[in-house]
Amino acid sequence: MNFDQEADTPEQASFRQEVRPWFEEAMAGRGDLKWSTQWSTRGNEVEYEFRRDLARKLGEKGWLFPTVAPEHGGGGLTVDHQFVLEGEIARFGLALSQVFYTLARIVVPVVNQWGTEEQKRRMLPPMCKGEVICWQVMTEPQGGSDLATLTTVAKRVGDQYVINGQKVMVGSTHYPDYLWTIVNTNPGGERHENVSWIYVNARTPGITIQPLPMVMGMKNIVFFDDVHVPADDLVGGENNGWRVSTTHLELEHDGAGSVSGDPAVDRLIEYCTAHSDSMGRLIDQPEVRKTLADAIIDGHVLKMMQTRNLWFRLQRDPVPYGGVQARYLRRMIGLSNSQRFQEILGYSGLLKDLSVDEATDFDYISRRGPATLHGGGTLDTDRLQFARRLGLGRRQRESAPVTI
Amino acid sequence: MDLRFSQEQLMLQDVVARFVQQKAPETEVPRWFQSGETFRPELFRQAAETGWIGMCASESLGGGGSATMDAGIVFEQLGRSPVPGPLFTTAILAPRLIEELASNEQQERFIPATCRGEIVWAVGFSDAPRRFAESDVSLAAAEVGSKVVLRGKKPFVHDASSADRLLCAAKSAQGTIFLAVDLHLPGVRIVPKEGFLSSLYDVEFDNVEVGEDDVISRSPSCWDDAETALEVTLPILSAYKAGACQRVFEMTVDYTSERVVFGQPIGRFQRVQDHVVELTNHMDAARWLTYEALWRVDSNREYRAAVHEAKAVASDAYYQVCNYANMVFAGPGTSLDHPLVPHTVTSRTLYQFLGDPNYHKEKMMDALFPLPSGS
Repeated sequence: MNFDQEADTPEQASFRQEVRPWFEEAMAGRGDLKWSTQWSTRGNEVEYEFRRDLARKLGEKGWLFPTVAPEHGGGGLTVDHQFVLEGEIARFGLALSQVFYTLARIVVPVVNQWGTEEQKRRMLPPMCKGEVICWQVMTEPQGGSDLATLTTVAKRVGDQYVINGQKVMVGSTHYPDYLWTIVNTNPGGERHENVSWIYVNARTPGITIQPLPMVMGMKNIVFFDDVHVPADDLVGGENNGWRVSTTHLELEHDGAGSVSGDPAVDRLIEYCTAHSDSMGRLIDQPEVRKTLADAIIDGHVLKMMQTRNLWFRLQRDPVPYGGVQARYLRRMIGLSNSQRFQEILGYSGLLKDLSVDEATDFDYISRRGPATLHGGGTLDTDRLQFARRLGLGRRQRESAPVTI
Repeated sequence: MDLRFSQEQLMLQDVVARFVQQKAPETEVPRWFQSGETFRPELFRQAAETGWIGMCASESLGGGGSATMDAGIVFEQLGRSPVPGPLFTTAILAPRLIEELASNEQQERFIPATCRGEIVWAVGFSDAPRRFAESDVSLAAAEVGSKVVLRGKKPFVHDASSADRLLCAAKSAQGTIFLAVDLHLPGVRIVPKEGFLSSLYDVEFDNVEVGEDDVISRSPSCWDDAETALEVTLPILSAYKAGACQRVFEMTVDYTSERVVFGQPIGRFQRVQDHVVELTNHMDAARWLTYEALWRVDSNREYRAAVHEAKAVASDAYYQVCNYANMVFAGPGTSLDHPLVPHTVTSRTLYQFLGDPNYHKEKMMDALFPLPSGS
């Protein structure tokens, strides 16, 4: 075993020598963006433009989706290269999958696995090159955790599908270029055998996007009124959408893994070192140290699980329950931390502080606890999926799909 | 980065796993716990023959010179049954303390014989039931001529009844000293503790005379030196607990499919699933933080915070894993013949051993953020 992320093969070492100076130049003078978040409560346009530009530059080099074939817009590189890139961008508080708000990190692998060659050549390059914003558009008002109840219908009419329905709590602040959505293509059909995925140009007539402010930032409602979409944009086969979802949901459920950590605890430590009350420096007070210790340990455990997920995924041997485990832990730890921060900081733990990056803003951390317990399912669906992957009460364990 | 064991390590793991299945099958272990016969001389002898006793001690002293990670692999498997007895104290902890604290002559006298399986060790540090601290060493050691005379007791000593010697801290007029007391000396009495625990004893001393050659250290810094020596062994003990968690996990998952109530396997019930989910999270936390700590020790990286963190997490994990397993097994899991019972008892007993999770969290914080001097 070797936990050193920079214990490189000769090929990785030489690639790292190319990548590190590139990032240092690309990120020069933008230390203020370190650890900023992509689903933002702040709407910082300067930051957003920087992120978009960075994504384009990475895309141009083939580094945004390193292992995707060059003819599909990727870098044609190996998983070893990807591991180097993930580590190098993490030094700047970012992840390849989250340079700016787009769900290409999920849509690209799904289209790569389930799309036709023609679809891959057409759909993938703009996403791989960081040129387009793609939202995933799944949840419906009546659906929530029960995705399969979806009532947004896509009716086949000639060489088109006509979509009608409504999706909620999707997207972010900036208008999307594409919507990756799951629709009902056979309303009378059997549950799970009646759904399909379709890639929709977001500027198609009949689409209305209405902002929906939420505790963690802006989400939206998307209305489809007789939206005509070419039949060629349906991916993975009509009524085969539930099988396609296995790839999609694995990635949405944190199966991708990551080597970047959560900087919030680092800021808390910094704060406790710099601030005192009548009992002395916060960092020297036994109660503070006890609470901090728990936050540090939880953060370490979470980072370890995410690193493990990334590493085993890149070996094409994903930990069966790893994704949902990391997601469940991330949410539960976020919730615990919102209380731990307040225990240590008191009122200050609730205050907005625009002088720091968003991910370490105490206001953001206290919001994040309760307000990110959903998104792609609840804690309860996490545990349900977890149990399937463990094979509880079943003859066979559900395996994790290979997503790279 | 490489998060897998090497081929050689997998082979070692396999050898130990087969040893455990054959020599300490979990169908037998509950009986050992019930009768109190947790020390298995034959198993111990074979472990010594295989080279696991003293496996990390210096080769020049008859030890194996193995990596900490390899010892972790061995103890991870030993934790599965769980194999009870003074294996950790004799194979790992005592040789390490002796190499760090004792004179060359004492190292030559004790370590090769230990590695041959001829000396079984128990270890006693702090005397308080909860706190692990030098200020809680209370066993009185009087210097009388060239001898040290012990009066009083060393409480809460693991596996004392099977040990030949006790490596322990005592309080002399000058301060803390460390001794390697021959437990066969006249005046030594070993009194078992009764309760929800396993193989725990008070060692009572009625004017026991310890020769100068069995005084391991009188250095004013001997407690701190001992703690430093202890640190590199902690992740090996954590690995034992992580292996125990893994086995409890496996038996619990199997049970969710085997046990049928209300017409279906209990694993179909979401409340039951929730217990196993939490169990799994604790198990993985213990396992991965332990592996990382083992790797840090071997690769000469800063390891102090990591070994204390792993010990805190593994002790808590073993405790919690047994809790969740008991929720799933319910009644049958509390029958004294059930393989879960030795785990539940051991998780409680080892929770305190060499410091509880709160103590190790404090040590982790002290390593990361030293307190200003004088506080």
